Amino acid sequence: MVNFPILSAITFLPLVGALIIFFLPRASVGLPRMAALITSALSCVFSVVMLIQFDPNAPFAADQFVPFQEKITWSTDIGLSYFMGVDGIAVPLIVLTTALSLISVIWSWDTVRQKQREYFIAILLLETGMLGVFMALDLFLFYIFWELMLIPMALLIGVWGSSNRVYAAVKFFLYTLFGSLLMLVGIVATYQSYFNQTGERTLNVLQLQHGTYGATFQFWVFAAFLIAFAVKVPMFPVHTWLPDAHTEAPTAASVLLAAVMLKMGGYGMLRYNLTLFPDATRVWAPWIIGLSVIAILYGALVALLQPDMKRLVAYSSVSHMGFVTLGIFLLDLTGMDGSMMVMLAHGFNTGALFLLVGMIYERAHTRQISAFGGLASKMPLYAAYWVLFMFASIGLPGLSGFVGEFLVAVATWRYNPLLAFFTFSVVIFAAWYLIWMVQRVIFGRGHDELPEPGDTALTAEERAMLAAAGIGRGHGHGAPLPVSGGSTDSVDPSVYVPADNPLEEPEPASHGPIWGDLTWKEGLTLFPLAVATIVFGVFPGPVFHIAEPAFQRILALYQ
Amino acid sequence: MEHYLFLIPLFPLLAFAINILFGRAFIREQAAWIAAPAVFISWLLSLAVLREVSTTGEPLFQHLFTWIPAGPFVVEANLYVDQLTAVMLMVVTTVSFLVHVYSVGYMRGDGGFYRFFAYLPLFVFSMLMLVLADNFLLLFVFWEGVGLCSYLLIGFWFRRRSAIMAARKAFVVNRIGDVGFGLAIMWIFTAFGTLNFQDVFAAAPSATVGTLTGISLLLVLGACGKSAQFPLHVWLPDAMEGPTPVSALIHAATMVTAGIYLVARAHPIVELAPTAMVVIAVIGGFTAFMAATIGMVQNDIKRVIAYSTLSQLGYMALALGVGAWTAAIFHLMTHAFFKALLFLGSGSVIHGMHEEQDIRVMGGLRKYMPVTFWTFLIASFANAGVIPFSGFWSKDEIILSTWVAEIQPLGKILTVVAIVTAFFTALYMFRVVFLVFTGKERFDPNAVRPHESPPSMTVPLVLLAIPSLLIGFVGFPPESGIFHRFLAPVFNVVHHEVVQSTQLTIAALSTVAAVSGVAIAYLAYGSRVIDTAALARRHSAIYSFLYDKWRWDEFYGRVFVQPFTNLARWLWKVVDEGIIDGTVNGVAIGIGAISQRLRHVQTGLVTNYALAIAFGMVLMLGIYLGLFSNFFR
Repeated sequence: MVNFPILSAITFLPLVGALIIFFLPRASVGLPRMAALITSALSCVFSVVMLIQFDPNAPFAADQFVPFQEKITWSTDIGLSYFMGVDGIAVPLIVLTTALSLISVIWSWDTVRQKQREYFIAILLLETGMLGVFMALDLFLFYIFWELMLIPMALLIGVWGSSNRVYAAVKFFLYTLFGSLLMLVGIVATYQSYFNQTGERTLNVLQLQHGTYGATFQFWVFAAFLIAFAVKVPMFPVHTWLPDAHTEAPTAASVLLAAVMLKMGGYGMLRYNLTLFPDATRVWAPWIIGLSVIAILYGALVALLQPDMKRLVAYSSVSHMGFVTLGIFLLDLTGMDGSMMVMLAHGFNTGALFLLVGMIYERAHTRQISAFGGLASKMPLYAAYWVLFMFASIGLPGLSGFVGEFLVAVATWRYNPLLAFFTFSVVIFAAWYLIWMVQRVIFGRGHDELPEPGDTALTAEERAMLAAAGIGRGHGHGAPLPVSGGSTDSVDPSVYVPADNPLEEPEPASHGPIWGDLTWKEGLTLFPLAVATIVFGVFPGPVFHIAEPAFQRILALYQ
Repeated sequence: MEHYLFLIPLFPLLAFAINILFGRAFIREQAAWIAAPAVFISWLLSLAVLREVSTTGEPLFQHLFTWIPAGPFVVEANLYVDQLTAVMLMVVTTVSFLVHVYSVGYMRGDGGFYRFFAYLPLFVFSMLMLVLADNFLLLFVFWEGVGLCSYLLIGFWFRRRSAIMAARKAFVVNRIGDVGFGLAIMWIFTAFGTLNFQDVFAAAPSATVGTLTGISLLLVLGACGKSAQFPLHVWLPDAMEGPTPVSALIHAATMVTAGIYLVARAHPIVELAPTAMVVIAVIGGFTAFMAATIGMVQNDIKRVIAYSTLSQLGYMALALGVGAWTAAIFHLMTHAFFKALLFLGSGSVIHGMHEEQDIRVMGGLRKYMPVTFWTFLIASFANAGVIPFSGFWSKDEIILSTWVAEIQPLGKILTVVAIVTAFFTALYMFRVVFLVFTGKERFDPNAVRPHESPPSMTVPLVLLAIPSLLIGFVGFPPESGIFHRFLAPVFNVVHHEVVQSTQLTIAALSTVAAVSGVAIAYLAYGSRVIDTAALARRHSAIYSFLYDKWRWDEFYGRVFVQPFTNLARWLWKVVDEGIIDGTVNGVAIGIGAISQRLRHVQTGLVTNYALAIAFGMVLMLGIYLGLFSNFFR
């Protein structure tokens, strides 16, 4: 396998798919999505092969052989090369990327009806960009991939998004571009400084690590990189693009944005900030830790009152990603293990939550929490997935969300118990905002249904509705229910009959929502994530096995 | 012979998996045939474990796998059975199995029948794992796991807003306790470098009192959440929105005792922290008293029993606080049987009365449902602590331990509180008995035809009545019964050298309190010599204060929920949309204004562009040559 460029294959298969779609005749309807499916599936398969063959303890340094490295020197004069390689931090994130890209393609199969060709081209380009970011070990190459993924994402939001999409796309683009331009300055500065020290021109990040950079230089260049990554994470207070981008983006773009793109911030910090500028890391760490704890609580509190489901999930992302930056900058192995786990778990869980919101949006064309109610009776399978991912997201032990957040909290306790208290108390608010939302959307009754007679919290208005329908419940009299407590799993059909025309069968109105339970394709997108969130909750060990040697290499700089 | 431990929780887990995956499509009404036998097998296995532990006296242990190997933070998934666990296993599996059988009748015809028989074994699995766990984090996992099941089962009738609101309240309030428990775990790990019970307990004496007190208080916060002790007690009464078998199993017999179990399990830490012990004792005594006063005026049969549960859990906490670990577990066991019986009995009443729960419109049900009446009566005597019913022995031991506790004069004060509470207990319990089962029918006999429940419901009642009546004798004589000898390896029993006369006086006092409670209940609700309505009118301030449950819900709403909601709104509207986004958009508008002027550069003339490009290239080349090359040097 040494000779087969598996990293390039994983990265560029989606690009090949995009090119194929580009050259397909315009009339072919089903072919673009087929091409997207095949190439992203192949990419996913290759990434799993890479995962299986990956040796976590293999060396990862400039003068040693990097596992799966692929290196073609472009120009020795200016030190430019095509240099791809992975360590234990990149590998899990790459598999996450290919898997969620595949899920996004499956999701988009039927749901994208406008400009299908262009849509799939954008998705595939985005995938290539994201994968490249995780593999590039040459700063210039890294920067190309970094910018490459920006454009398709902005287009996905701006073209296929919902009502306020252009504002969101521009905001996303400007925020990220602002960050990445600063990073470009940082890259050039590092390149130049290394050249001044050694007389060698290189952009190889493994080699640049050996440079010695002055304290002031480190401080400012660290900041330049940090801002780029902080915007991506997003850290408080540069997070405000996220709710807009998430809300307006089409579902698949939201999924990829949340599940993969946000992780680039965490990955970038680990790969560049921590390894290139250890002195500055120590200086900056307390500030970043403080901002992370603020983000954790701030995101959860702001999520509490959001009326729009996607915005709510977006703010919950701010909260969860706070754990990632916190875990990284505690400079503690347990914390880093935790932030890796949070990154993966957030990928599964938030990805799934966006899919779930997308499914209901496809049916009802609204994301307002207040528009829904009682979906569990109409869509039991859908409701079951909601409950599962809700609990995974609020960190129920046994599901993936818990392990990472708890490890980060343990590491935080060692840093400062009071901060650990603030950090860990977020589980109260997480339960509050998510359970409250699910309660309003999934449980209770729909707006077109009668209230339950057994409900002891009925309003006067609801009592009147019941009385009008002839179902009363006084003290010991009134129509008894046939069973204990009443049958609650399905809506009694009689309840559906409109009062003015009692004999007419209720027909799904052509413009109104059609409440079918999950289609098999929808199930296909959720099922792997459900399996993943359970498996990684019960057996998180392999993640630590893969990532820990890489973290230990980083932490060796801080001994 | 230790490798079979994993089978105990495995069977309920399999039952859950089968019913949740195939229940809706295939199994449907047969779901109980999967769940109940699975729990029965667990019961048999628990019996075997109990036998083994009692014959060998050695703890059993089984390694499953390494759950979290994150650097130095290693958590194993191991099962561990000592005498304490063996007792808990028996209590959990016995009550669980009987509740499963009962539910077959109670839940028949419910649309969510398969769901019910999926959640119920999931709960049994979680609860068994909770008591089998050999380290703090694994215990925490299933601590949350039983919380999940509680949420799912309180909100079982999810179309009722009341039910789903109660479920959320239960989960969120419990989460406050969980934060305490979680932080305790972090502290334990930081202080001891391990989370394994035996290792931590072995190292505990070497830690500072400050550390031990901190850890203990955080553990107590966790216990307050799960065991519904003040100030986190508010969720339990609302939890009665769940189906009655759930109230019996989860919110009376097993899950709510997890907090008591936790503190008892962690007693080697807690007993080294005297401050924490005082806090537990006061919390327990206060909760016992407060809940009993509320229980006296509630009209919903399940709510009365729910407040009774709060009150009895308060007794257990009191026992923990005075170091009477065995007495706490003893009361936990007797309470599990008689309180499960009370709930199942009230479920039988509700079932027979067509979903009526208001005791004001019942009456005279004795002749309609004799089995329910007699079993309910036994449980009521046990709850009231009347000799020789099981509750008497355990409660008497707690009161005695409190009287002779090291913390004085607090011990004497708490003893008085406990005896007064015992009086209230008998009063509210027999208020229910007289109002429900005796006197005239206060419902319309033509509309409601009360009937005895089917055998699947009455047989469990009878089977629970036996331990409610007799199990107290395992703790006889006080502090040296079979039960105490069995648990002696776990709790190094402090054998109180109490004079016989003190023992008898305490026993007599608590009996007098209980009997007078029954008598007054008879005068007020049986023979109606005392006019309770007039009493309530005369002391309407007190009455409504009690009826409104001391108004804790309103207080928390004003002091916590509302301020946090306001803070959230302020952060969202002012900080997020106002300050941060305002700045971002402001910058964007500013740049927009500048580019409006720069727009004039865009002339559309190719020659202008060419000039600009050429100029730019010269500039860039110049910068490069000047700053980054040796060209000019």
